[in-house]
Order: sequence, then C-alpha cells, then structure tokens
Amino acid sequence: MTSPPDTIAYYHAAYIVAGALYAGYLVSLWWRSRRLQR
Amino acid sequence: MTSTRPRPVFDWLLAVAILAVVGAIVRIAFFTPVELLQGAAQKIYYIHVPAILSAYVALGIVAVMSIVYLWLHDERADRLAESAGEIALLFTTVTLSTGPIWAKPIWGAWWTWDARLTLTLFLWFVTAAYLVLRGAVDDPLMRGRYSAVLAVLAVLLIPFIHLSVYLFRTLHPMPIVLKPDRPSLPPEMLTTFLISLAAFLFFCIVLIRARYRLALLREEPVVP
Repeated sequence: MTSPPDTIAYYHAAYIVAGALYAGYLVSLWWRSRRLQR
Repeated sequence: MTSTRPRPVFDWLLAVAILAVVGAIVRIAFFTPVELLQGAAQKIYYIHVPAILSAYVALGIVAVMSIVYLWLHDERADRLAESAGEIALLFTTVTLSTGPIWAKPIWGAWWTWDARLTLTLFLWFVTAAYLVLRGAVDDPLMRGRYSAVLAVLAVLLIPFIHLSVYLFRTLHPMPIVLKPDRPSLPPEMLTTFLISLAAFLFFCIVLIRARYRLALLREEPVVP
C-alpha cells in the first residue's frame, strides 16, 4: 500500500496565510474602531 | 436631544464566531483523515472552498442591498452593502492566497490562467474597485448610486465562475459538493467540510455585522 505524498508544508503554509489575513483584518477593525472612539 | 451609545464593534458574538472557526480547524487537523493521493495539502480544501462560498454570500448581500438602495435610497442598505463588500474582498483574498499554495504540489504550478482562476481574480479586482470607488466619491448620493450599479454588475460574475469548469477546459477540479449529483466526498470528509462551511459562513456574517457597526461609529457622534 502506498503512503500519501509529503505535502504537509503546503498545508501548514495555507493555514498560516489564511490565519494571518483573517487576524490582520480583525486588527484593522479594532484599530479603526479605536481611532473613531477617541 | 437624545443620543444612543454606539454598539461595540467587538462583542461576544464575534468571539463565538472565532471559536467556531477554531473548532472547525481542530476538527480538520486532528479528526479528519489525510487523503491518499494529495496528502495533507488536500486539507486546504476545508478553508479554500468555504472562503469563496462566504465571499459569494457577502457579494450576494452587497447586490441585494445595492438594489434596495437604488430603489428606496435607504442609507442603511448602502452602509450594509459597503460592509459586506469589504468582507467579500477579505474572503476572496483568502481564496486567491490559499488556492496557489494548494495548486503548487498538485498541479506543479502556483498559477495558471485558466477560466476559473482568471475569473476569480477578475472578481477580486472588481470588488476592490467597488471599495476604491466608494472612497473616491465624496457626495453620498453619487457614491451610493455608482457603487450600487457596479456591485450588481460584479455579482453577475459569480454564476460564470461557478460554471466555468463546465464551460471551459480547465485544470481546476469540478465541484465535488455543490453539483447536481450526490457529493463525492467520503462521509468523514463531507462532515468536516460542512462543519467548516457553517463556521466560516457564520464568521463571515458576524464580520459583516462588526463592519456595519464600525460604519455606524464613523457616522454617529460618540457619547462620552
């Protein structure tokens, strides 16, 4: 029986990139709301 | 004169949505089998597809609210359309970022100019143009009207993107869940996909709500 190819680095990279984009957007929301509340 | 305190942009519902996404990722990472032909890279599917479907939902909201604005000239509809447009751009960006990372080990190339990918990139540019246009026009009436027309036209791209894999010769795989036949994913993977889709759609809707509250904050005077 063949084992799956080693593509784990791509899997991790995609999740890190997606996480960074979502987190970055949340930070931008927080930053803009903080600036407006001043 | 009475004034209400603006609602917070960050609240418990956003925390619940973030927890739902984290829960879905835990399921993907630890409780979903690795696919035999693609290895772990196949798990990118569980964030890539929910991201584009969430973007479609957000763009659908933009289009419906734009039509409502053109019809009734209600500022709330314009504000909601703007909020959903920003979230649509975020989710389309995630789709266009995770797609090439998945494509490289499977197709041997980061990118190919086939119909599905090129149309999705075009959708990203049109969504970005929608937001740039909103920022460039000062008059609220003109801004709402011009951007609403652009939004309605942009949404017409979505059926072409979904059907592009049937209409053109393309490297991109056919839909394996959203198709006329039964889904062709094994039950464990299908369950994970549905959990992830529900979590990301919820996250998308809650982000639109948070962005709408930010728009309110921008327009309303703050009560000390």
